Amino acid sequence: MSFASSQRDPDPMERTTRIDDVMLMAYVDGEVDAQTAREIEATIATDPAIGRRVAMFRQTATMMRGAFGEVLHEPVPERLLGALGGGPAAAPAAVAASVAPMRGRPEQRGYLWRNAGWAAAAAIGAVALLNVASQQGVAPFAQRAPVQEVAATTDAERWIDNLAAWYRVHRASFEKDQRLLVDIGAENIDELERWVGAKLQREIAVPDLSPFGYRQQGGRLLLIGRRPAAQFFYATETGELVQLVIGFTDQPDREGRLDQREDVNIVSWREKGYAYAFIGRIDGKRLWAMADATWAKLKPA
Amino acid sequence: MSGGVDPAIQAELVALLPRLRRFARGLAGVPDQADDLVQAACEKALSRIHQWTPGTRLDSWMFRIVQTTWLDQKRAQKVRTGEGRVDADSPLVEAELSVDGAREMESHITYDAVRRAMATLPDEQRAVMMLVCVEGQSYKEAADTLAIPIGTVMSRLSRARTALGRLVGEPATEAAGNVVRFKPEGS
Repeated sequence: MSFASSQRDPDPMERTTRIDDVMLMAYVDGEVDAQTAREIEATIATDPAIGRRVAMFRQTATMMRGAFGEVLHEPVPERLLGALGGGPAAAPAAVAASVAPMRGRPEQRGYLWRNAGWAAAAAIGAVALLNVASQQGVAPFAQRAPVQEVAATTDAERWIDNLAAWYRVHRASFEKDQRLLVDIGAENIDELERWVGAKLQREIAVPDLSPFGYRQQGGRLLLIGRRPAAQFFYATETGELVQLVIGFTDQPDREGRLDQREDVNIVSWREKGYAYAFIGRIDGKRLWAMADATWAKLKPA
Repeated sequence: MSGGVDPAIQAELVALLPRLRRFARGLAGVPDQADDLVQAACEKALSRIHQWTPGTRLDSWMFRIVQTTWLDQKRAQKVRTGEGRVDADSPLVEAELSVDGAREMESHITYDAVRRAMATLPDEQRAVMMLVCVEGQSYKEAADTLAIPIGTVMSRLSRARTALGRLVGEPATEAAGNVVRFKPEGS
C-alpha cells in the first residue's frame, strides 16, 4: 500500500506529512511506498524519538514471533487430528509432533504441493517412530519370527496410532491424485540420497523395494523435534503405498516390532541413534519382510 | 473420518494445525482453551467445507473461522476469560511491563510477559497482531481474512503494538514533535 497520498496539510507549495505511529508501523512492516520510506528514513536519521518509535514497532513484531513461535513445535493433540479425520477421534491424549518442513517459512506451508501438505502428517508419523518405547536389544530382524507383539508403553501406543492415522491420510490423497508430496523425486535418487544423508549426518542409500513390487517415488526432509528426518515413499503399479521414515533418536536400540492399527501395519526399530519405520496397508508379514531385507543396509556405518 | 472431504484438502487442513493452534493461542491465551477453539473451528470448517472457494487461501479461511468461533464462544459465554482480560493498568500487567532499562529487549523480557500483555488486549487487536506480526500477513491479507477495512487493521495493530511497546520501555504516546515537513518532490 502507499502512504504517498497521506498528506494532511493542504499547503500546495509544501508537502507536509505527519509521521504518526500508523505510518511508522507501516514502514516497519514494509507497507509504505519507496518515497515514503525514504522520507521516514531521513527523519529517523535526525529525530531520535522517531527512531525509538520505529525500533519499538520492530521489536514488538519480533517479540510476538518469539512468544508464539514455540507453539509450532508443540505436540498436536490427537483430538485435533481426530476432528479432521486424521486419527481416532476418541483418542484422548495429547500426542504428535514438532512440525516444520525444512524449507520455507511457516506461512508458506500448505500451498506448495511439494513442500507443504504432508509436512505435519509425515512429521507426526516420524515423531511417533522416534518415541516408540521399548528396552530390548538389537539384531532387529535376523532369526526372528515374522510377527511379534511387544508390550508398549501408553505413549508408544499413541505414537503408533498416529503413524497409522497419518498413513491413512497420505494414502487417501495418493489414491485420489496419484501423486505424492516429495522434495526430490525418484528420478533424482542420487541427489535425494546426498541431501538426506547430509542432513542425517550419515550415508543413506534409499532401499530398493522392487523385489516386493514397490517402486521408489522419492522423498522429503522434515524437521522433527528440531532435528532432520527423512521420509521415503514407495508405491506399486496399482497405487498401494508404503512409507519409510528415518530419523534421529535418543532412545536406546530396540529390535523390530510389528504394530497393527486397524488395516495399517507399522514395523519399527531403533539402532545406533536412528529410528526407522515401515508403514503400509499390507500384510504384516510382507511389511516385516521389507524391513528384514533392508535393515542391515540401513544401519549406519 | 470426515466423510466427503477431499483428501488433499484434508491433508492441507492437517498441515495447518500447528499454525491454527498458534493463532488460537494468541486469541485465547490458555493452551487448553486454544485447542478447544481449534477443535471447534475444525469441526465447523468440515461442516461447511463446500463454502471454501478452491484457489483461495485455505489458511486465511481457517483463521477467519477460528476467529469467528472465538467471538461466538465469548458471546455465548462458553469460555472463561482465561488469564487475560485484566485492565492494562492492573498491577499484574504493570509488574510485567515495568522491566527497567528494557531496551535490550529480548534478553530482558520473557516471552511469557509478551503473552501476558497480549492477553490484556481486546480480542480484535489480538487477531490482527497474530495475523500480521506472527503469521506475516500483509495488511490487506489480514483485512481480507478478518473481513474488516484495511484502515481498521492498521489502527488496531498500531494500538496493540503501542501497548506491547511498553514492554520495551517505549511510552504509549506517540513521539513528541513527530510532525515533520517534507518538500514536495521536484520543488
